[in-house]
Amino acid sequence: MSSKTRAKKKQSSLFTSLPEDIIIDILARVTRCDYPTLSLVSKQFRSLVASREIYVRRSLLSCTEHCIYVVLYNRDTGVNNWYILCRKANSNRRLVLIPSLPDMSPGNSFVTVGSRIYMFGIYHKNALSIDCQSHTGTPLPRMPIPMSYSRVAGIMDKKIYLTVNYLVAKSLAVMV
Amino acid sequence: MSKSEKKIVLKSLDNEAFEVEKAVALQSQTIWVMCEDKCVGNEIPLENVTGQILAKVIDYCKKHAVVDGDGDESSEELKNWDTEFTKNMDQSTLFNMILAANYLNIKSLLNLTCQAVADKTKTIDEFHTFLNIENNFTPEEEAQICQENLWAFDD
Repeated sequence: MSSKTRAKKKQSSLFTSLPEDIIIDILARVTRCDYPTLSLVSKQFRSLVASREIYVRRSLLSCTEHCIYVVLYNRDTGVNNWYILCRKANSNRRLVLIPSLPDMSPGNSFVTVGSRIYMFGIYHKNALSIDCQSHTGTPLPRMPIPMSYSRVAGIMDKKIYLTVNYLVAKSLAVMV
Repeated sequence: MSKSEKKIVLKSLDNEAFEVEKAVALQSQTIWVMCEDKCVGNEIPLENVTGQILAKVIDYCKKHAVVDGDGDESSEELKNWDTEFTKNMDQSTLFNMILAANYLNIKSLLNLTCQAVADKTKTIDEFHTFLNIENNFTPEEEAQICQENLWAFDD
């Protein structure tokens, strides 16, 4: 952001004098792709945009949006990078890099639940839960067996079921 | 119910009195609760709302009471009316409408006005100017946030 966007010292804003509950209500209605912009408006906005509360409100107001994530392998660096499909102000769509998400080996199986993506590794016992609100990845407890060529079979009773090497594996007690 | 009982007088902060149909005023949960209270007569004092704002709130309630009552207008027409209603409101009127809708507890009006503010602000400049919010980041903090959110600013 250039320094010319920096606002001059102003009288206290009527907006910030609104009850915080109403400010959350307004910000929850703004499109998800504008949240990084919101986080640059002021410290209060940055903390609200990072809060769980705003996403709870988005659900309550039915303001949730579908986002498309893509993992692309970069031959030069040998790293798998995460991208999100975003609509820019000029209505163009483009894939943009999310540097905060970890490198994932190709061939993972995955499933989306609410605002999370669960990824299951191909060669090892690791699995990852990706929070699409904060764009962070959290490792899940180690799986009982390697997830070689695993496929997500489905979700039932808050558990994700995987098939591994064509045999039904133990259900993974992942709360969703 | 006699004719006078169907009417109610709303008195604004600046002592402006508005006589409205009870069905119009009762869209406000706050007024509904006041009317339930036997201590309150036919005149309801609204100490948090000015006459200028109250007049607009009553316009909205009248429109929505008519539609809800006889179903003459389609929801599409009502939606268009709502859009026009907030379209040319300046920042101060819009915020005062939000405060009034919150105080009077008129959920649909609160939704409409909050959505209008969200729709009017798309860029950082708009947030700073329309919402009149001061940027309280240091240039270093600003640069760090841009780095963290590279995906959004990558033009």
